[in-house]
Amino acid sequence: MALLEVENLQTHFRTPDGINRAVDGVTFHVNAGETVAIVGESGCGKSVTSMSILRLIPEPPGKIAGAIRFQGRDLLTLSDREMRAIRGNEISMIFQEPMTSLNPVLTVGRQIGETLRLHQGLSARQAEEKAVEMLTLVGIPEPRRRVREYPHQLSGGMRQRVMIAIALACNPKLLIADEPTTALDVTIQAQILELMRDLKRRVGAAIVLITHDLGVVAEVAERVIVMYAGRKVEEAAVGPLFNHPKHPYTQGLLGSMPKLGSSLHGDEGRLAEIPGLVPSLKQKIPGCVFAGRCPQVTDLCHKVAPALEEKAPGHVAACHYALKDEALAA
Amino acid sequence: MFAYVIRRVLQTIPVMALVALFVFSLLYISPGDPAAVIAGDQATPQDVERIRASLGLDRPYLVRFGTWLWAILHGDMGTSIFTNLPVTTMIAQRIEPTLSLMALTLVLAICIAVPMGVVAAWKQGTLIDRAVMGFAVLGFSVPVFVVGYLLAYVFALELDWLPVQGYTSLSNGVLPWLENLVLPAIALGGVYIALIARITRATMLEVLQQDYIRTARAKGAGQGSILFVHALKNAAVPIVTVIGIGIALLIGGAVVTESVFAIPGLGRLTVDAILRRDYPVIQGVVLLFSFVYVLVNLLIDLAYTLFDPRIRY
Repeated sequence: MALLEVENLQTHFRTPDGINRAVDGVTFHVNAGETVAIVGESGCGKSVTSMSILRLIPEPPGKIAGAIRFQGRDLLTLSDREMRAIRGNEISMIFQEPMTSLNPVLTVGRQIGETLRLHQGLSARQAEEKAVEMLTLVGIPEPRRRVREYPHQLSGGMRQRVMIAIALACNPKLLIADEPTTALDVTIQAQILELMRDLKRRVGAAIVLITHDLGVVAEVAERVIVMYAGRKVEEAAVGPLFNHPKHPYTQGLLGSMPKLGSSLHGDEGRLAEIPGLVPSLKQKIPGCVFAGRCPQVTDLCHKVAPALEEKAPGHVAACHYALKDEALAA
Repeated sequence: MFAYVIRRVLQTIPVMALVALFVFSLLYISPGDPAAVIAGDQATPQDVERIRASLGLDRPYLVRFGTWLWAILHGDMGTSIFTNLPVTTMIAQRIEPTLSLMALTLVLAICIAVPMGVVAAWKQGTLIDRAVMGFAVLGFSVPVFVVGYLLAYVFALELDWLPVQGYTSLSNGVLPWLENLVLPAIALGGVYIALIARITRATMLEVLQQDYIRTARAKGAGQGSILFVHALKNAAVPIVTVIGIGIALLIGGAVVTESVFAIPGLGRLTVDAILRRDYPVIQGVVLLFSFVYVLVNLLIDLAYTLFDPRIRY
């Protein structure tokens, strides 16, 4: 059994002008200790997916349907109290904005200690001791002094380390990282990724990494899920996905990535782009969600939504025209 | 921090000096001649003149202001024209009921209004929220004396739970003191509660949208801890500010409330002094109120550092 099984997840928001289908029927799983990346551009529903897992979507106006099984228990059927016992304890989360995700008026030590006091019943003093340990673990110098400081006294990179310390304090089985490096400098990004990889080895947590940065994906993920307009359009191990993307959207994403050493002039200088915009999620889209922007679009694409098909072993894509490996071989 | 406190205290000096000048001038230019009032209907013009001279009212304006200010700086607020008692003595006799009333109102208002605002923000758009906001509008729009008489009628006359009016000193026990002050404090606190509740709700609504609230939720924190620890501490600065500004409302309201409930406090003293044109008393009381207001707002500025570590002086 997988650690986390998300089945036909649908997260919809009621808005004054109709229902926004931010996530519309997404299915995936995460094995224990595995790192899975969810990629896609802004508004594709990747953050909403991650927030739905912890049920952090305000209801109403949100509505989460489907099933989210964590170690076999469907999180959507749990009471608020049972859910609180899981949050920060068995599943924890790191957010994109380290500058605003920490409470400005509470000390760093108190914020790390809070999870320990909530879930492990530590006393205030024990929690502070453990907080010092956690700060050491995430590589913050002078942890004894830092533990009494406030977030505004720390740099962005340090704050993200504190977030990681909070997330890992209770040894979670699953860590959801929502764009953990997006707001950071490139050099700090590399440090944070290295730290996450290192801690994952030590703690053994599975990671769901939400990002739009394919460079980050290539570096840390084992398996990749590509989302577009609230749906999963492709999923594969990281190697096959980068080398043989099946879905035109994934091909477009990869094509829009600058390559190191490529010239800025001539034909290869221009980055490929995906023309058009993400479709509005307020209407039900009858056909393929990507049809409006796809270079290989046909009438069929507008009429019939393509099912997710296994195009190669362990490699699924939702496209009528992405050929299966056997078809290619024949 | 210390340097800041010194600087702030020094800044209050010109403010208080302006207030003193204003208080002094206001009575100087207002109509009516206290000498004539004291002398009574039967007095001859010579009598009036004599009284005026004895009060120093015949001397030039600036000289009078200087003498008056100098005396005040030495703790002498003059002598009441009407009772011949020193103004400081009269204020000292009346200060306990007023301070009691204001302190109780303050505590009561904060204890009621802050949770009200927090819950309204949490339950935004629900019936509870609308009830709180409705109450706030009511609190703003119904005058103190209406609420006062209504409360006295229901709880004192009809139900006979509490005394109708009067004041019992704290030295006679806490319970009798409270019994006499509860109704006045509620009457006086209405506007204040409305003000604090509204600000609390508005600030909390904004704070609850912040990323760190989502973080707290993701950590598994309970609703109570999210509202009263994570959010309220961040919302504290505007709330505390409005509590300070609201002290002015309390001072104004205390005058009316003391009249309604026959509490022998500074408010009554002020009203009586105005009716009798008892200049030294009016000046003394107004100066005292201004001083309290300036002092409270200084304390509030300093209190910011308790709530927000980013504020440093």
